[in-house]
Amino acid sequence: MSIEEHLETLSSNAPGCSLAAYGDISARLILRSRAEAPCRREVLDRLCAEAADVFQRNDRVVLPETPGTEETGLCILSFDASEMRVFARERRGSEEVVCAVFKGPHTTEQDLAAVKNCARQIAEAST
Amino acid sequence: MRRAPQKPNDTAKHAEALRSLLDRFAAPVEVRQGPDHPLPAAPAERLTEVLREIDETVLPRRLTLLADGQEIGNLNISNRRLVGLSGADDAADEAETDLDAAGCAALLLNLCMYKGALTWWMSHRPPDYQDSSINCSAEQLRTALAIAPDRDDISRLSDLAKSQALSMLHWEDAKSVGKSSGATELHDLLQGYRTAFQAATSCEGTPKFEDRRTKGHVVELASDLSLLIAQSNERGCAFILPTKDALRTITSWQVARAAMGGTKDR
Repeated sequence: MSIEEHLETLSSNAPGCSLAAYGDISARLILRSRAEAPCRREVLDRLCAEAADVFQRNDRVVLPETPGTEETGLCILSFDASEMRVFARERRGSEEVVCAVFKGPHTTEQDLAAVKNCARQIAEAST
Repeated sequence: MRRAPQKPNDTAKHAEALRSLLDRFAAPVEVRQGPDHPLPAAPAERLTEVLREIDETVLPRRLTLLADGQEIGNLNISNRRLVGLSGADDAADEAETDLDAAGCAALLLNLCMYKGALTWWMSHRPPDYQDSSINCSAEQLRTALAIAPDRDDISRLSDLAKSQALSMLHWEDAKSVGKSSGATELHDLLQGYRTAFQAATSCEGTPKFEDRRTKGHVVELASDLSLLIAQSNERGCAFILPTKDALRTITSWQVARAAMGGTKDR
């Protein structure tokens, strides 16, 4: 499956998702995207910059040495009063991320699972 | 002037009228009032409309919520107060009887967040509500939904998250240590995320930019446990709680914000 197809699957599995994108946070660049409506480049750039910031910030936190902490911070949500943006990566330190934007108060655990699944499948396909 | 004595057949007539009246009160018949009313699509607007109906209904009435013609919930209202409530998960005719304002607010919010189109209709309520201890005004429900006008964003988020949180941290400004509660072994983790979160909006103690909007993050710590952190101006809160509760908290907060009149930051 191509990256576009994975993003298409993500959009159909998470009905509230208005924008799904795949990018490289080291280059701060969205490489592929799938949106309900045409999306300006600046919006995509801002989304990727936010993904880079939230993961960088997360990786600075010293975690307790307990089993399972390798899972910590693989999926981070950023929210404000009207929107939720979900960022997922396959492993800590990975530069490839999947971003999904959800407008309005409808984000569920299934939506989160769909974003994480998309990140995992793209990572598996590229290895 | 002396009243004429009642004739025996008058007494029987009055007794019959009284019996008929009592039968009417006791009859479990719902008389529907008017057609179905569509509810707006946005959960916040639905909530506002339902709360307004509660606030404006004096006589005992039952408000039934329908999705595609199927009942998904019933609200018993009397004297401008919610006195009974049943949701989609309850068995038919089995209303919740011991919910407090927070419980009612949560169930009401769930009903209003139904994804499809909703309608409602009002009926005379049958007298089946005496066992219920529910008794909430629209104002109490607004407070429980954390949409009371005197609450700020951080207080609202805190109200919504604290009952599910394993551990929590609140701070009033960037320099204060903050107040922790709950599981002590998680306090360092909360402080660590607070420091990292604040570093993003300041540089060596000087604000990098004046951002007063309320925003936050949810970091998945494990498959079913998350950290929720939010800040508004310099005030903030952080919680460790189950992921599903973190999502529900944000969703409820967003709905509450919208119900307060748009998503303008307060």
